[in-house]
Amino acid sequence: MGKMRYDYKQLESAYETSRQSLQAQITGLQAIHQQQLSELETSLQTYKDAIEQIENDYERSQEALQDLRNSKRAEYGRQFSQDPEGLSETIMLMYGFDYVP
Amino acid sequence: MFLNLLLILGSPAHAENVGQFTFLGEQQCAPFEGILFDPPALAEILARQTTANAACKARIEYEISVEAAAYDLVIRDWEIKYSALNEESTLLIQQKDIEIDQLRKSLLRQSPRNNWVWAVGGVAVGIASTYTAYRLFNE
Repeated sequence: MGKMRYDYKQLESAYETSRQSLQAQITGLQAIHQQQLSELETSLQTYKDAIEQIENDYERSQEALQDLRNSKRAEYGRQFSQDPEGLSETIMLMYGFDYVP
Repeated sequence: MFLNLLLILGSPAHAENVGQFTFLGEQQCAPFEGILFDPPALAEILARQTTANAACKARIEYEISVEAAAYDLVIRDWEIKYSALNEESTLLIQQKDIEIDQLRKSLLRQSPRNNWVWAVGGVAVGIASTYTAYRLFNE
């Protein structure tokens, strides 16, 4: 009887060991998943910030480009009235067309 | 009526002189048939051509940056997943090691089987019973 009770106690101890191990695994996995989710959210936010920065940079570059285009337009407009020969030279260089006076 | 007025006032041609062009036939004030652009239209064409490279470069830079950001996100996500899986496997191995160690200790604490004691005891009891029976039935 005593031996049986002793063995039963040992089985109970083994069960308790397994239960504690599984509980520790679950707690650990929950913590790891929580940390993973947090890191993924941070990563996504970093991506959104990067995209926003890229969009802003592109918008600025487009504005600069528009300014450049406006100044070039004004320059060619002036050239038309002040230096037509220079303008025809520009057209010939740019497109390779022949000028027919 | 009001809408028509709005459309007329809001049209680009009326907002500013963005350039005009027309078609010319041969000897129609020109040595050959062609297309006549006014100075603003020509300036626009030339300005667009002059800034085309810069515009293209800006667009390429933008597209590359967007792709790079997307790939960075994918790489970061894989790194995070790898790190998490690594931690999970380490945790599971550690817990299994602890469990194995505790079960081993538990097994070592179990009552010994002592088969030889039972065998010797059985033989002794058998001999004693046989001898007792012999003595009883012989007398």
